[in-house]
Amino acid sequence: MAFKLFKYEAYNTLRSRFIVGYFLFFLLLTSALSYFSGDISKVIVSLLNIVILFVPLISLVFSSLFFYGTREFTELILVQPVGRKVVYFSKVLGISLPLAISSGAGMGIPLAVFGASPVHTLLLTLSSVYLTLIFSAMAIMFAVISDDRVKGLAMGLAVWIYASVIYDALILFVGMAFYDYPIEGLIILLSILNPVDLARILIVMNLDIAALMGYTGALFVKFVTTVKGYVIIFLTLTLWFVVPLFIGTWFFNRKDF
Amino acid sequence: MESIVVEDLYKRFGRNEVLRGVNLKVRPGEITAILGPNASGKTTLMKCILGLVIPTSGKITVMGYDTSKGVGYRRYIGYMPQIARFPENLTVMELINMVKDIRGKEANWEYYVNLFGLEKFLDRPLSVLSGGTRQKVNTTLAFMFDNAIYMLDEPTVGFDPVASTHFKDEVIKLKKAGKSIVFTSHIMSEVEELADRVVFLLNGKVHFDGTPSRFKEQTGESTLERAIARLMKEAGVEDGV
Repeated sequence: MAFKLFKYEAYNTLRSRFIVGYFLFFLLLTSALSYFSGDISKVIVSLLNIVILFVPLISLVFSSLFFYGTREFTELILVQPVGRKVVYFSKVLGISLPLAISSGAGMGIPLAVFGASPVHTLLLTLSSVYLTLIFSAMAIMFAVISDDRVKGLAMGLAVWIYASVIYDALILFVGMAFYDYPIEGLIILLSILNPVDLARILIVMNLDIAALMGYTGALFVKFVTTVKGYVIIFLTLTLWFVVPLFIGTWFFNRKDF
Repeated sequence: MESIVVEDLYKRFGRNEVLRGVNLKVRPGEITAILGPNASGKTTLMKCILGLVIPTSGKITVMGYDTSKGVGYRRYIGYMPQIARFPENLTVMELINMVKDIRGKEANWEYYVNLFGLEKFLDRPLSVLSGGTRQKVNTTLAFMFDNAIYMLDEPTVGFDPVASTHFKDEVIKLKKAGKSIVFTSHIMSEVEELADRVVFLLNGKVHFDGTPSRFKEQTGESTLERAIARLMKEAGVEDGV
């Protein structure tokens, strides 16, 4: 039943013109950047900036509006003999996976065609997929918590501003304030607590430009490029998806429609 | 056996207590109209039975199953919501197939598609359909399965006279087949035409439960509309029905 519902949710999302446009946007952008730039690693850095700013924002707005817009669809499903948990899981995955695949494939296909490093391509597309899943799950969680779509969207945007803009300023402030202390471990820990930073670190530390980042950069490279580092990063990213998913389920199970 | 039994049902939304100890029994082969002023809890009561709204306290049994214990009881119910809004990107046929697939039950959809003249809309996305056509799709989805109970929330809103007549004929047919039909409506002529029983909700409680003729007798009025107006006036509620 879960797969059946997921299939219909995903089908409904895929039929939205936005998803097609979103895929084409990444496809054209990546192709154009790869075609006009001589250095493919520069293309990865440009795309990285889009992935960490643009992907979470679009995922938040699209998922939130899509969830509010399909409330009657949710009601239609909820009056069928199907449990609420199954309905919610299929809804979150049905909205976020098509979105994640369109951005991931939109970037991944041209990068593979233009001969980018398979590791960089994989990390970039995985980051994009994870950030989409994470911010979609958050947006839908807020949409379940608040019936007011302005409030629900505002909560999501507040998290986006915090994760994408304010958090880095805070880390910078900690770095400056405790300049004389050995706080590299703390900085790594703080960065892990933000999914946007995690995606950034994952890619930047695998590029040559990591060498320009001094001692802390070297520590990051040492952390990120080990199996343990990868396991911690991907586990943390998975947790960032699973936690809002389960909080959302808790609220969804108790929600009145 | 009663199809639906509601015992001492309470529902509170924040500070607002919408249902305050509702008791109701719905029997097979009977058409029950739930009436009441705006915000009297008609839709909330229906949604509690369907599991869309979670009761604060009380017990609901559908075909002998306690609704708080599982979702299986919903296979006995066909529901027609008040606003017929569906996934915008699906076509009518895709929607019918989807609901059929989820229920995993045989559906007599062709009959209702023919009855309401929906053949030419089957391949169109739901987003381009008019309100009346959506309501016809809504009816098809509710009626296409052989259910024991049909719950219809303001079913004829948006219908033209032809569709409305077809709809009422179908409801009477279902009643004769021993099904339980529960509906809300603000069109009193429709209630008088269809209902065997009137349940009048006021301030979250069942204020009257009986036949339409007894309802009129009790208030000393000649029509249901006047009877309801009188009851509301007596209770100090002067809002629409």
